[in-house]
Amino acid sequence: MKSKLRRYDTLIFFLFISPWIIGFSLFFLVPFGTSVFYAFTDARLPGAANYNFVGLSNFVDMFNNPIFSKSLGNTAYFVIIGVPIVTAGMLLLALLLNMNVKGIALYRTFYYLPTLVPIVATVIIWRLVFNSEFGILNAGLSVFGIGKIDWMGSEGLIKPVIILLQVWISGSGVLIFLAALKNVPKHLYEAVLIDGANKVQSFFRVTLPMISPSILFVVIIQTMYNFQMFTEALLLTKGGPNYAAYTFVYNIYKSAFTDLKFSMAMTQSIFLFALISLVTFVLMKLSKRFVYYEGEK
Amino acid sequence: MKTNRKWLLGLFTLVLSMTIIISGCGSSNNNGGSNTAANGGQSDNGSAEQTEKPAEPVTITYSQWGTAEELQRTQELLDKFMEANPSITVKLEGKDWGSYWDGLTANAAGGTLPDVFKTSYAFIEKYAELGIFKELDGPLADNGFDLNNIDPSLLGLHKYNGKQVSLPIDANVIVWYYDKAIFADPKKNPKNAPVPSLEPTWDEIIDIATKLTLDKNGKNPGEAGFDGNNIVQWGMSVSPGSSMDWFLEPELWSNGAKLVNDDGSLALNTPEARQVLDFFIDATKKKINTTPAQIEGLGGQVNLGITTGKVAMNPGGNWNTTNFKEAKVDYGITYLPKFKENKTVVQPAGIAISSNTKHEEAAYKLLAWLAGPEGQTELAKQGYSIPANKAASDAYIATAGEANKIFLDAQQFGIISPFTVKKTDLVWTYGEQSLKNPLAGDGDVDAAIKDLESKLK
Repeated sequence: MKSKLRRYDTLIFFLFISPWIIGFSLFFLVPFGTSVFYAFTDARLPGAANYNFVGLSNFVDMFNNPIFSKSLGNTAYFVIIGVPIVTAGMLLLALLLNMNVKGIALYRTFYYLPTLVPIVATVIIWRLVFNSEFGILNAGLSVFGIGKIDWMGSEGLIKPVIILLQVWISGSGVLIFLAALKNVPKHLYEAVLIDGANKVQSFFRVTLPMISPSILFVVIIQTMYNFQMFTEALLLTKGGPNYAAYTFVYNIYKSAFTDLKFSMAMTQSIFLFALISLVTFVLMKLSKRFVYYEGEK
Repeated sequence: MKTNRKWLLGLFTLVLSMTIIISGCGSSNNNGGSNTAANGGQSDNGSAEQTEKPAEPVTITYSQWGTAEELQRTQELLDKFMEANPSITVKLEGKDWGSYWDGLTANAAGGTLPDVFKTSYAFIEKYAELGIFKELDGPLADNGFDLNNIDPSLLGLHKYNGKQVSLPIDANVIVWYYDKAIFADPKKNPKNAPVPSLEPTWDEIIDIATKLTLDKNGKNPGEAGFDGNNIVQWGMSVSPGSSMDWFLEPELWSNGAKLVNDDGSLALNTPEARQVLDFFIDATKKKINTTPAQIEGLGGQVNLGITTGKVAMNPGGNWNTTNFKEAKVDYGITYLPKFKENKTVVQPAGIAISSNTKHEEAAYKLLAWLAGPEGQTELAKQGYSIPANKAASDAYIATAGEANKIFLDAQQFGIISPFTVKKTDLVWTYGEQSLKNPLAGDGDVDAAIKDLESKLK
């Protein structure tokens, strides 16, 4: 009787989960498997009738391509430098928006608004703001006697501009941090206050550990996003100048849609998948040392 | 009871998910079914039945790039075609230039190519390698299409491995535009610079552009006290690094140089080529020409500079007259400025049939109509595109008038430089990244050329 019940429960479980399994198989496993297959061919298009198996030569070509190296370097920059800056920016904004001042709800709305604007529109607005000739940023800086800065035409500045843009649209992360901050029990602050801690100490000893699960979540999401950054690179400067904003996924797009080499694009996608998996795995492993879960002993 | 409910809910979920999947598959099957049915008389059941029965109604898709206005004009042409062929319904799918090619690639990958679509001579080889074109030699010969009315050089640009895969329909040409209002306004033209001659040299253009470039105090480049950081009007706007195929290349030819050698390698390291590059770098450094950032701020399209009222002259295609009319710019036209000889680029767009169309006969009819005398005459009557079919030349002149005759005349200066895959890579993949800034005086040209040479290998 017991085993019959268990079998019945298992059946129910699979029935309930079947929509997800079917969706996952159709929209992830099948395309993923197809990509892996084509990565070892010279197919120009997926579904092409004529292709040859080329072994690992796509992978060899990929690593020998200077533009690939450049795009990998740029993406590394956005992950290693960009993610900490954007996460810190979100946290700082969340702390400011967590203060008890008059009209705070209004500020929260204002800071969240850019997130509601579609990224394409945001990037176009930024192109206008950061234009060296007619942009309002340079116009504002000229008041202080600062000459025209070519924000988007300079190889050194384009990446910081993109990171700044990410902070601008970081409302969702701010919201997560804000919720986490609200959840920190008041009595902990009272306890450290009694122990003689100042504000900085209470931030590092209470706030940070208590919101560390949210930090981990935001860092992982932002890391994945920055690994896959595309829209900003495409719309701001088409990956330029001189490949300075040529991101990994932009390169995949160019391989597929400009070079018409889908097998190469799929090779790069698989490499990216492996890279993101590895980095996420490392982050999760490291998190055990830095993340504090209130519910765990 | 509780378990029953669980069962029911589970069953419901399963049925729901299966329904979604089956209906997803089913709809495509249905489409396929109806396509085949509509198509039945044409391909499945053989041609014998076709001739007996009146043509069954079919719907085909035609895809092209263009602005809203251009698409509207194409719709008018298609309406005329449908009037003449009541059994064929043509659905127009329009996109802008950039997304058109991405869309075509995605369609090719997904096996959902439009039946008939517009092509550019620049992409024939690249897309022919994917096998997306139906070879036209057979159907053209079978139906007695008169190819003698189309220039062999234009036909050649739409061939792949010696086979016709696309038919040219219009022959766009690049010329030099100027804003008459700026020349006529003493405030904007205080030195009274004359309008450029019909066949201007670059010396003449630089002289005019210098006089028409004004800082906020009305001073010109080279004058004492000229403030290069506060320019309010530019004499000219060119961007050789981001318009390599339609501006830099003819200018290189004009000076006896080339963009690419016959073997596909980069040809920018000759003294004649460097002279051209240095000329544009110098003009930009002297602030007579716009920088890439200034072009971006002026709307991002170098061929529309004069629509801003802040640029006196810029190169552009014959299709840009539409934009100028929309922007109410009173424009003048000359040939492209020359170093030694008059040169320009003729860019013949064409139409092709997809290799996997299920409505081959209807698709051919549309192609033959658009590229043949009837469609080309209708196109010419609209007065915007230059028909590739000579049978429509008179209609074009009659509609477009003498003012636009220059577009036909300019074609004699067209360079013959077919687009190979390597050249496409240079122009659209690597060139702009490496050369855009250096050719505007920002960065090392030698290093950029070396970098490009290595990438093109």
